[in-house]
Amino acid sequence: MADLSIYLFWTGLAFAGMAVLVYVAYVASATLSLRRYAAQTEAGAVTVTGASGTPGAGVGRLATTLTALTSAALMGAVAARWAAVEHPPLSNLYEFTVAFAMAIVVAYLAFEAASGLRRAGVVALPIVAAMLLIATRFPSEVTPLVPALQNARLLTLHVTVIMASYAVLTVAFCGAAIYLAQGGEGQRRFGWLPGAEAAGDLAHRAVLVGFPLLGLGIALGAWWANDAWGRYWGWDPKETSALVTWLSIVAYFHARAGSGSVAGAPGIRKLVPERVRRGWRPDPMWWLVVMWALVMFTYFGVNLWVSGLHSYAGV
Amino acid sequence: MSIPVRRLEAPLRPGGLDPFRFLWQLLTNVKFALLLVGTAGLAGLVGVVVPQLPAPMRGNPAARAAWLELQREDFGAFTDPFDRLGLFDVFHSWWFTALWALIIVAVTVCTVSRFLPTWRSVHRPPKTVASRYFESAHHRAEFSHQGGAAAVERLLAKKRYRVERVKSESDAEYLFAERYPWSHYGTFLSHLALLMLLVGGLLTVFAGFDRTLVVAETTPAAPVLADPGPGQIFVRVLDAVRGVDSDGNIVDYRSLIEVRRGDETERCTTTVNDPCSAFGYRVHQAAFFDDIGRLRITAPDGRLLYDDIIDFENRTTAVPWLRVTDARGNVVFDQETPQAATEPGNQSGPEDDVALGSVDFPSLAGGGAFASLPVAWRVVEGELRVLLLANDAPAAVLSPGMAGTVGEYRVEFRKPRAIPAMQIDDMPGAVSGDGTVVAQMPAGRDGRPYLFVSGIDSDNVELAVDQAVRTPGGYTYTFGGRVEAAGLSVRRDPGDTFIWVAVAMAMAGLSITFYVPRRRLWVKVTPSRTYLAGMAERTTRFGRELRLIGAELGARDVLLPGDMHAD
Repeated sequence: MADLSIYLFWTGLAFAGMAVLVYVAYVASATLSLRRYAAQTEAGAVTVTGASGTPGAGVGRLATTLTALTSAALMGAVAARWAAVEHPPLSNLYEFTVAFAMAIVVAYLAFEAASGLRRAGVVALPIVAAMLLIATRFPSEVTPLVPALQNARLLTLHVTVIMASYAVLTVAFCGAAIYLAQGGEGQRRFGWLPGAEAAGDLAHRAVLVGFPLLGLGIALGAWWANDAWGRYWGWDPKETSALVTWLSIVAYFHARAGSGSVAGAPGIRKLVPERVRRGWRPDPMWWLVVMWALVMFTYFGVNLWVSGLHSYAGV
Repeated sequence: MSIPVRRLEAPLRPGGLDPFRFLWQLLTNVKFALLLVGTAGLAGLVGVVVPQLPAPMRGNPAARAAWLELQREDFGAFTDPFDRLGLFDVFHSWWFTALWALIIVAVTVCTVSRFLPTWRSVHRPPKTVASRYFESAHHRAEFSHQGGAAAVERLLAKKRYRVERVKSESDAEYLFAERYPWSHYGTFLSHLALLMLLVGGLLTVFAGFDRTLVVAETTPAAPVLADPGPGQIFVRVLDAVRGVDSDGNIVDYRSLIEVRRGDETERCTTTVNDPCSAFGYRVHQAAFFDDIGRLRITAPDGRLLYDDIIDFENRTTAVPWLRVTDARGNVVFDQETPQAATEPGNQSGPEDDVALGSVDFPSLAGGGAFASLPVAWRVVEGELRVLLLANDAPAAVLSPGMAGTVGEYRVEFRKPRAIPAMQIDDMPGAVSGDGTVVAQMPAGRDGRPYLFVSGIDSDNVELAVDQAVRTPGGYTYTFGGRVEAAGLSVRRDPGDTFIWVAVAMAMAGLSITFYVPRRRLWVKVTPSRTYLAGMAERTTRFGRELRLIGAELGARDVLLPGDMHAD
């Protein structure tokens, strides 16, 4: 079963690679469509009513199909690994990274289906492929579960919920990245990318799912810590880093509510010069970029470079 | 988002020198909240990235100073400023506590201040807006359709809006529609959850109990509470176990313990993930130790001088594990070789010291005779190297895994081993004037540990399990064998229930806020055009939703590119 899991992992990686290429082709087809429309417009043949190019539907369907195949292969890899190790395969960086990549693919597919925003795959799938490539660098040997992780129910619940939240927040990042690349609300720098409004909506909807999930995951971790270590909170680097990530999303919500600038708060506005206050109004979507950087730091940085009670990286 | 409604009250403004009003306004300001959240996040990140002082060192100035010296290698000249700023102990620094106290105060003020407006917003919503709002609202749509106000009412009711006709004029009908207004309480609930977290945290800190004990097998029950009154609790470890699989992987830690209060006794097993509960306390398996031996010493006159454990406390020394094979192929020695003496090197430190020992085994000559091979070892280039000596044979130098021949014996250096070893300062019967001896606890050929003591006789003494040894000084030593110990964390936390209630409230609040699609809509229907304008906090595409309503009403001119297909 361990071998089967490895084969399926490589199959998933190959599908992800192909999906990346096809998504790029899909976006490129939108660019070509834009140019064709432009040429026809100059010739007076058609009237262009929208700013966006229309990508090739067939190419798009192929991209989604390859993404679904990636998802299936990775689900198979995780299931086979589970059978091989006889516990949820979430106990070291290799297992978690494969499951994380799988979760991103599944979350992306769900949001693609719900929003119809297929071109966001050009950001999401390279992240999946990169995750899988990184997973190849981690030891994949099957080892027994260390005593601290021998709580199958909470291991499955806590890690799965955290992983699902990170995956959904990755989708949110994809939306935010496109939104910011387009120049923010009402802007459209690149006709071949989805519009800022649709991308922003994708990001926001994903955050609405990811934020409670992350909170729940942290709470489940606190529950487990209370059982295993006798305290629900101990400022361990991993739990602190997850909390900071959660706070960054709290900041996102407050930035949306407060137009994105802290400089206008009473007390602050007396300290900050008018010129700076007027000039510095970052878009709240930047908080989602910060959030995803923190997700990556919590996931890789804390596991690999900071020692703590969550040091189960297996590297 | 612009607010379309007439104001129900004048906004608070810092008036003159009213510090309370200014403070209230600051604490309820969403931008100030953003500043607090950002600062808390940054502080947390600093606590993750910068090494933090380990908890056991916090109350120990000497240990703290030594730890800071270690940090100096990485932080150099920044060490002292970082220390003064509390960056090595962020989560216990005054400023971090003050920051969270401020956040809690801000949340409290926000929760209190938003209750009345929330109640008003839910129960007394502004049902009319100025006409210009239909042209300036962030989320709005206008279109032409058949059916007039009645058609709009029917469609909105179908979409679970509660619709009210609020005004009729000669040329226009005005509607107010609202969906799930009660969900406005969701935010209130999640903010209230933060206050519940605070209550739980305060109870944990001020009413909770937490003590960690190390209790060895065979030792008397250890008292848990500082107060020796009738409520005192005693914990005894009957069996501490470290489970190891056939490949040497640790797969389990567990302890069978007995908890006693007065005449009541409870016996249970505690594991890493399944603590034992007794008398309102929980006993967690926090650590496991197996470098403890049991020793009994009697004086020459028969008085019992000592009968307790000796705890090596993780102190070890590196020794070689050697296997000796004689010329007939018999394995005559296969075990760890304890250090019998030290040959000091030329340097003042231990860098070039050489450890000396000897390998003793039955000689080929038989008849109970023993052969002895002197060995020496030291660390060279990070590796333990063994020098084998023989009177009439050339010396052999072995690295781990290597084998050599000394005389008629083949000696293999299987691997270096760390065995428990320490200096004991006040051993009864020690030959030195200051009572100092060195004890080591290697494993014998049968795998059972024995005690190897230097300093209670002119020669080293080996104490096998349960075999009393009387020294020339008249003292009798009996090694009771290796015992295991459990690190047990005894806790009681009256705050944790509040924490879980708070988490449930927060989750419920967030779910209501995020997933109950609250909408507020004002409609103006004229014979030629219908205007929709509204508010929805949790979607950025409410405008599209309004246009789709128009499309459902049969309007042909309302949809924008991307409304039907986002891609």
